[in-house]
Amino acid sequence: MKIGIPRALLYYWYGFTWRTFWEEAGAEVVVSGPTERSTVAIGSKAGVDELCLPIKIFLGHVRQIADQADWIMIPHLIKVETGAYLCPKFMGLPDLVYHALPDVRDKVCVVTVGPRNIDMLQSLKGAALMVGIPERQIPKTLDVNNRLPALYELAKSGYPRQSDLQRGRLRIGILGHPYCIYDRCFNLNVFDKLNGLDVDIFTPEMMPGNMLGIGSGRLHKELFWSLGRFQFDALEWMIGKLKVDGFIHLSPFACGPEAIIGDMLERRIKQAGLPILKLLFEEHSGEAGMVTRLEAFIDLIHYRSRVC
Amino acid sequence: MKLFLGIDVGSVSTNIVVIDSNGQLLDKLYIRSRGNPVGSVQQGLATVLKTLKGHEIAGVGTTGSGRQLIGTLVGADLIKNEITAHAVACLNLVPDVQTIIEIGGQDSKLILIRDGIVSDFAMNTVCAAGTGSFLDQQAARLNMDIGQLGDMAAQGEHPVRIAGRCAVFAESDMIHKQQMGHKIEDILAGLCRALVRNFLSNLGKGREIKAPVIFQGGVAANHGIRLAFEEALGFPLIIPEHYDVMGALGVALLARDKMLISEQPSAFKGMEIVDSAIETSSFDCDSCANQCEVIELRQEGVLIACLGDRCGKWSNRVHFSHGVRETVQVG
Repeated sequence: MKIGIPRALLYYWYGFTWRTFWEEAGAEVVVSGPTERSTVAIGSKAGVDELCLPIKIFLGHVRQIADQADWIMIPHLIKVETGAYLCPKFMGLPDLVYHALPDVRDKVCVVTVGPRNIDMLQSLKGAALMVGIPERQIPKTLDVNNRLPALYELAKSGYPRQSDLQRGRLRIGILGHPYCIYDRCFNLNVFDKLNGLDVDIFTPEMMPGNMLGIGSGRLHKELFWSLGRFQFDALEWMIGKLKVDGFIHLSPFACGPEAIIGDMLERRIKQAGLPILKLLFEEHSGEAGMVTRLEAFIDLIHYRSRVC
Repeated sequence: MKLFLGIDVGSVSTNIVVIDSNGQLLDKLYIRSRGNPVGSVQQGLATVLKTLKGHEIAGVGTTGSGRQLIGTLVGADLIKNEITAHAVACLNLVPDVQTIIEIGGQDSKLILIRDGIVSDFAMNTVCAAGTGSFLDQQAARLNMDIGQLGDMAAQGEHPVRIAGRCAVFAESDMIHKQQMGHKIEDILAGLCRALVRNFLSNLGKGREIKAPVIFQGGVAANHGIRLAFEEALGFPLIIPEHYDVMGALGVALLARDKMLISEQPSAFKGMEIVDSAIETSSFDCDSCANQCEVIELRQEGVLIACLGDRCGKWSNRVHFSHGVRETVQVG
């Protein structure tokens, strides 16, 4: 039996967990390939115009994997931790798929992620029974808390490098949602562009677990978006421990939560006296504007560090 | 005499300046690209030829959105982004400048300078509302020259309120006001205010705009926009004499600095590119999932440059072509 997993949204966090579960249960796992322009095109055709680009990409992946798998695992992302939620579009993901892609409806197998790991295991067990895996084959534990797909994407682009430990090179902190940072097609390959500019980059997923909750805990009010909280934790880690020289924030053009979180991040970064470059992405594939901004930003940091 | 060239290939215009080693501007040129960057650079170089005759070209720099392509074509010694180029040109002109407002064809930029270095910058995001292209379009719609549009806007005494957030809404607002019977001067003055409002709230958000402020880029020629800025900011703007070619000037200065220090000969390919037939072609490489868009540049049928591939599969071919005309076109 083949289980298809779309390589989109929080796949970059939970992909490994899902994959190991299904493989231990004896199923074959097919993950859709990296996002391509055709994925975006298929997704935009399926979805309504008000969807953001990451959701369109998700729909594109679902469509592309539908023919290769017997079942498609659709993550139902309401809250992945206690006390915080995800975007409403994530909460309605299964319904979105039902209505945007009615022909794959019969193949959908919904798995609720969170709030606790035990809940995800329960949901995965239920899904495994539903697709007809005998109960004795279903794993009793879950391999959680590693974000291997994200780190794999990083390693593929040559990061983190050995030279990260060297002094003297510029350190850039990348902020944003995992599917914005690690999807090369989405962000027009920002990693490669930065690679060419000879800087070291750090992403939130590289943060050690003991930094969780510190940055977001310092806010004057609790944030109720998980992805926002995570970025604030990472921000504190990057400013306090890594002493990065500047930040690049990647976000989808039409992202509601990021409109607020991005501004809050910017204020905190300005307070620390560091520069930030915000990049917004839509379906455009013209890279000239982005490259100009990146180059100018790196120039700016170089000039600043020379003076200080 | 050693001369240095700066070429700024923007979305709307192609600018070329010639400076000497003291940074003195000897010749400048502002021409419309009309969607043909290569042709406009050829045409531009042909025009400045008379200034260059008998002198050594000791350095060439390119900037603007077409900087890579043109840089490869002419053999530039330095390829630099516009923001840095603009800042360098301004600092050279007004050493204590604090803020630069630059509005070009598709980009608008706000550059903050503190203690003589760029400390922060902002560029318009995915939307081009409020940039030169939009003003161009409106001038064409009203069947007037772009220069005329600025002068008329400056004459408006009772500016009407126009939505500046989005170019499409701004246009429909303008049409509506026209049909209501407002004077065209007042509508254009309102448009200028709306664009300035949009610029300041979008790019200026959370940033302190301190005087002296330099206003440059093609749109700086527009009196209406200038007046609207001065009204909103409460102090006069400095518009440099060569406001329209500041990017090219900046990159020429940078090329001069680089070449005077390195003391190496320029990589400039010479003036023969002016007369030769240059073709560009592009194709999607399907060798891997990257699907790079590869651009090939041919001079008289000979492949001289290849851009856009990440792995070097196509661009490395240039080193082996030895100026031989290809019999089979790979693209």
